[in-house]
Amino acid sequence: MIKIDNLDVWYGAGARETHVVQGASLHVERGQSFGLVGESGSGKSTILRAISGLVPRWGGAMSIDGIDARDGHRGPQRPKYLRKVQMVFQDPFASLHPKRLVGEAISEPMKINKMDDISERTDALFAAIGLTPSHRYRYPHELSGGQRQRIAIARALALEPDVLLLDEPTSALDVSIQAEILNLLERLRQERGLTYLIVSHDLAVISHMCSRLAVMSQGRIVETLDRDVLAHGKAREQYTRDLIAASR
Amino acid sequence: MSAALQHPSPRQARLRAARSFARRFRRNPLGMAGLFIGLALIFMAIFAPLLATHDPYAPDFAARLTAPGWNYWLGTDELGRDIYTRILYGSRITIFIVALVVFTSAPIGLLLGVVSGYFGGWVDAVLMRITDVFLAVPKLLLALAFVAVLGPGIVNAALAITLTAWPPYARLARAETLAVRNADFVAAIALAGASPWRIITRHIFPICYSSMLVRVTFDMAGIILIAAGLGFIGLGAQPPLPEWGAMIASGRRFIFEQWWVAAMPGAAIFIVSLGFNFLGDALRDLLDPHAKVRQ
Repeated sequence: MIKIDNLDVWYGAGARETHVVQGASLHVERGQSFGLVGESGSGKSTILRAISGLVPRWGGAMSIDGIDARDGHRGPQRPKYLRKVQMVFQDPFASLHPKRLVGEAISEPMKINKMDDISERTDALFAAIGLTPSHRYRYPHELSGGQRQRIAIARALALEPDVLLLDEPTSALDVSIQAEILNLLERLRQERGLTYLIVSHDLAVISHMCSRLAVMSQGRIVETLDRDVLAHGKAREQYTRDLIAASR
Repeated sequence: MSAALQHPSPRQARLRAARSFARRFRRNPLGMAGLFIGLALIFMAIFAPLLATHDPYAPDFAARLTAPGWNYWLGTDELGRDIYTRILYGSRITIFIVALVVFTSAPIGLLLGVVSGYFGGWVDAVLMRITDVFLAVPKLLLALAFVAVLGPGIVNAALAITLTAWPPYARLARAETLAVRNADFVAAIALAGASPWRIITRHIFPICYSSMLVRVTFDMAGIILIAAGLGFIGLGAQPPLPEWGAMIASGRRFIFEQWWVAAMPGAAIFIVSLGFNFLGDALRDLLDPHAKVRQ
């Protein structure tokens, strides 16, 4: 479903150029939930932004369900690409427009893509994320952090994508809310057959959510391993073992 | 969640937001004074024929330069015309000029600023250098040159002021755009497939509205002053139109003996400018996101 081969991403230019992601490769099967862990600045969020087309310069090859990312980021293939892959951002306070009703945030992607029955679909999405349709007519500041993140998830689902890119989906939330959001995401994945690529610095979140994961450090993928390998502490690389030890 | 937070319709949600804004606005006495002055100005303009005590144009030489009194509340000018009546009718000209300037310069500045900030690169460089050129010329001088080319008159005066009024709006809108163009909510709508035009008009414009509104309100005072200035030097409204600046100009000759001829329209300009400044101050306290951070 997600194929990334030898991805390089650079930020800045000239003397201030930084090589944020260096030769990263990963493959995610349909229906799988794949985790990316690493410290801050290890380049894990950048991979998600690169898939979404939010980084200016990248090299290598990426494709989602057979659509090449270079075609998907601009040109006639873009609408098709965007209906395959959507993203949930880390901070639900920054990812919702402060002056627009949250119902509009969810219905607008459908309007842009000329989908039908938008009002019914919007109501259904509110039900799917555990809110009522009356929440449609609220401003983001009238909702709690957890409710906002649910809205952000519903917005990402509005175009009925196959793949969700989740950038630290719970790190901006209270601990008590985090589990609710993770359970919601897991339920949505099973109901809709979604493929997840989840970025987190929290090994506990990744091991709860993902069957397979990659460990990143300083722009490189250090190791890719299965969840049970992680659970038995049988990581190959010293860096991964240190990370596991630090999270205990 | 309380029951009061249930919004059955988008209209009610917006009404609710407006009501909460009005509640906070009412706590600001100077802002209320400014609002009252602004509304009074509009009221005067609409009902000028009903409120007037005389004809604003017909001369009455028997009553030339009468001091303020029972018959002529604010006195008469050198042609015996009632100054109170002329100030009433002059409010129409003032509102016309202010509205014309605001409704042309604010959208131009908003569009150029947002486009400049959103696209960046050479678009930004070109648009901002043009803005710099306009900002570098003294306001009244540029307006003067423009009126000199097009000829005097209210509409030309307003257009001349527009020419000098849009660059600060462009700067402001650009700054607001730079602050949000990399925000996640802009990235999210771009990921939904929105075109740049849609992102600019539906998502970035609303971010700029509140600071633009504050700026526009402050500028109304300045627009009134420049319009009066152009009228004063004879390049704005032409006689016999009762434009306040032109009225001051005609009263200049009698300023020591018949002070009211210049002082009354001067007071009108003063009060209205002050009102808009009060209003702008109050709006800034409520709307300016940067001011909120400081509190």
